Amino acid sequence: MTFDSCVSPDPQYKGETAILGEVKVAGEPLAGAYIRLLDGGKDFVGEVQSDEAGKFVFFAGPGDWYLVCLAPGDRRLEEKVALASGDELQVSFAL
Amino acid sequence: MSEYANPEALVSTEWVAEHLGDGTIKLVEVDEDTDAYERGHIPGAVSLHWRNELQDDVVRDFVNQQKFEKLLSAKGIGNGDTVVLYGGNNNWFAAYAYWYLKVYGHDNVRLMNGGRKKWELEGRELTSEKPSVTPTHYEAKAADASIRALRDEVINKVGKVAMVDVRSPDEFTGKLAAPAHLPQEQAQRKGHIPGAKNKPWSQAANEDGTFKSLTDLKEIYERGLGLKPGEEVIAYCRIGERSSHTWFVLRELLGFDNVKNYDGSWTEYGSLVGVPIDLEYREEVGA
Repeated sequence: MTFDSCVSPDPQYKGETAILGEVKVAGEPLAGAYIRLLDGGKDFVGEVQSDEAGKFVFFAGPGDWYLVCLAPGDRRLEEKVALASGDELQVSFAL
Repeated sequence: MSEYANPEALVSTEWVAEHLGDGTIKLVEVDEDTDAYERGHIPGAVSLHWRNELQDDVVRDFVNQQKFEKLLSAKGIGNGDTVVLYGGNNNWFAAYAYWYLKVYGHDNVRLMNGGRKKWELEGRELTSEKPSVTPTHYEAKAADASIRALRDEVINKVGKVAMVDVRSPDEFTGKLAAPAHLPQEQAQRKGHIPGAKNKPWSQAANEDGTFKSLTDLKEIYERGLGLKPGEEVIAYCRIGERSSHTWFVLRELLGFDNVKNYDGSWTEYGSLVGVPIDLEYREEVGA
């Protein structure tokens, strides 16, 4: 998983506080979906693509975040998550 | 897209799909993730590696005119070709290459609106097959200094011209220097150029990577930020790619005629001795 170089969430949380996610379609992992991380005010922070196993991760700090999942076929899901320090929050998008 | 100041600067994914195989149109992918092209690209596209091919391997600078000519010739791009650029990351690096080609005088260059993301989200074809390339004899013009700001000009114009810092608010205020995985590109100091206004590049882009409408862009940059189309504007970020995205917005979509990209950006400015810096975020002493 690689991050956008200039828009990564705060790296100080790398390895401790994270949003761990997966994207599935009909129960099968979906690679290449775009997942956007927005802050509590819905401003863009970063964007990654799901890997071959449909997984993605954001190392974000404590607080409220929005995740937007985009996939071919005009599929779009949005979820608000609240992250506490030290959390490894699991998020699952079923498209 | 006809609403923009220079509608020819953009083409849609549909337009590209309709012109696949047209020999006078050269598709070029430019990514930050330089493996993306290898995994799959638009049929017929060649790649430009933003670091290995577009940066001089010794001096921190563009490749010179002669090397640029050699590079484009090897990519099969002729002076009369229409170059259509696209890439990942909401077209950051494609916008950088767009500005770069303009510096060397290739006028017939366009960006594919939405870049690689929109192409993928529309389920369009990608291939790992590399196109066969017929080398050309490309001739570049001398670098156009009117769209590129260098260090001394920026220092001399602090507080005198509009400067737009397109990094994230945390980088602007001095909380962050740069993401952790690119430590070699960090500046010595955090913060921003005094008087610069912060407007993250991402606010110019829609969710699918396309540019926002002319009305929205005017609202953001003219009414919101107070920039005027006739005034001199310098855009910068950390290494000059994100600011190319904003340079494109100001110059090609909004029609500002005196906008420069400062590609030395914060990694240069924030490392200079004795220059003024502003910051809002200060770490506690001893923290």
